[in-house]
Amino acid sequence: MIEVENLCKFYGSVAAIRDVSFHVEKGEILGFLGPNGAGKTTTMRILTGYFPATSGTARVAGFDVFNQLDEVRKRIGYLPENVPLYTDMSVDSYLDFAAQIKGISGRDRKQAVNKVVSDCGLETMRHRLIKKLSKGYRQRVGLAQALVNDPEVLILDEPTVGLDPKQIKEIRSLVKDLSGRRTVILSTHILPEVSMTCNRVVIIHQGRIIAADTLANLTQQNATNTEILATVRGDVDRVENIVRAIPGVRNVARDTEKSNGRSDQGQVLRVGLPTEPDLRGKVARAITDSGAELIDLRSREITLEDVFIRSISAENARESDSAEGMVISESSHVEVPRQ
Amino acid sequence: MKAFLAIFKREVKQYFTSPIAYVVLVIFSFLSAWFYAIGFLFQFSEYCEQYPMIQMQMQQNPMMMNQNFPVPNFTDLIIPGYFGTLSIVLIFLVPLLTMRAISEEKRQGTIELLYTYPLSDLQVVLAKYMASMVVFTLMALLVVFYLMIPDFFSKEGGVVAWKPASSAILGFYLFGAACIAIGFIFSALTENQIVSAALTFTLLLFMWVVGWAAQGDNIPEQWKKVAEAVSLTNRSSDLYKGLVHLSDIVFYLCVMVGSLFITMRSLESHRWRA
Repeated sequence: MIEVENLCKFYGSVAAIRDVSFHVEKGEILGFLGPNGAGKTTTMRILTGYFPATSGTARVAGFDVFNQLDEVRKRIGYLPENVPLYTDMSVDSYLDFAAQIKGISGRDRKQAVNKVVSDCGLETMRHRLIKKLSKGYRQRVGLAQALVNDPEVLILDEPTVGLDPKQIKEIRSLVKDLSGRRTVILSTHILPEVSMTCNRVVIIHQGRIIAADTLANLTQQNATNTEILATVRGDVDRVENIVRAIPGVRNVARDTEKSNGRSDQGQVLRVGLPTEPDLRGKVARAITDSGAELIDLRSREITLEDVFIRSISAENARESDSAEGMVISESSHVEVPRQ
Repeated sequence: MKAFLAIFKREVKQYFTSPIAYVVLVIFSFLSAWFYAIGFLFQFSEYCEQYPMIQMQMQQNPMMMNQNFPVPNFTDLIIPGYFGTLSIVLIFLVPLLTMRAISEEKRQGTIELLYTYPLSDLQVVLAKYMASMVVFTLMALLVVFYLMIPDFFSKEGGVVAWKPASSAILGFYLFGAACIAIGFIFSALTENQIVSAALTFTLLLFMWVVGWAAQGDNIPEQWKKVAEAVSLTNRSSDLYKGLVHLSDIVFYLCVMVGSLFITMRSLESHRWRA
């Protein structure tokens, strides 16, 4: 549905994105993950035809974003990051305006507006002025505006930014419900958001894509190691040595941060283990056999955060390896904005 | 076409749900009524009453024949001066009318959605321009209404000669249309309404005062010609007298189309400037 090939965008001599390529299949929800300033908005703006890329190609629903812009625009619903709305219009008249501008006429328009109003849960707000709405409802109006022409592709730029936890939850489930058969690209810098809503993730950092895969694959790739957190009360030094002596245990470290510095509450040990074989039982027995009390034993899940940080540090390591060769050719005219 | 109508309707509504249109219309109706009533009508009717006396004196005293005492004719004595004054009033009011047209969309970020909706920049500019012209048309209609008043109150009627009067109205309309188009350039250039209004006002003011050079003494002939050609207000003086030159009409249309073209280009520029 969306094919992006080698997209580059320069702001003057500064590259916002470089060689960005990814594909999104029909019906997929793609999470576009990256820190602020990574190039998420730039990529989305190119896809919506807000401005053209410096080089590379992008196709949406089979239409080229540069040559067949009108066809692309008809098929896209876009919610920009800061949700720009005409604040002095009422919800109803604004949505009617959006529908008309997107070429929906007559009775269809009324139906389309009614549908998005009920889909986005705006019934009670229909006649309110947009400027009187809370941020959560404004986000809904923005979403309704994007959905009003029933587009095949939905592009949402940080749809939950600046909302309170309840609103974030509502918007997330809304996006999930409304996506239906649509293809959705959703950008965010909040990691759990991706795991909650998206099938596939593209991680972008400093204008480059550093990882693109399904969520399961991304977390699995890095899952040769697990870590367990054991809270132990007693002679912690002895326990540490005993656990370290267990064959297969990779490393043991004391987590002073989580231990609160109070010995009667127990100390937290971080024990690095391989996923295969499962050594958790052995570790638990070794601790209790040593005479110390095992208060808590948890395995730490590999989160997207780990994936993200790992991908970034791997990318940085690769970059510094090849830096010597690239300095002359690139740094003279290219500068990637750093966080 | 649908997109054009959508924006046009929204813009007209916007004018009348915000105070801008009302402020402009109230100021204009007050000033235009003031100049019409005090400045011209009262002085004119006084002159009409005195004119038989002047005529008698002229018959007795041939010396007075050399002085200029025109026959009191509403169309000749009132319309050119009145419309000239109205033009100056417009120079002050047009910046208010156009200042937020595009700059507000830029400031609020709503222009981002306009750029990604399936519509062209031409549609955006034309729809917004037409909406401003709706407000201006109301102002022009008010003036037409003023011109109908003398006929309504005079017993014989026929105070206003409508052919030269309609030439003046046409001139006024073209002048206003050109001013609004110029205002649109600055509205598209900045996202700050004040800056937009200030720049529009400066340019319009300049295009008015540059006309003074055309009448000034000690100014080289070629400079006078340039001043005459550039001045936005001097162009309409013949139309206000009832003299329709094609060149004047074309001048205003060129200013209008040219300004809207620049506005469009300026909107487009974000694509290659970003």
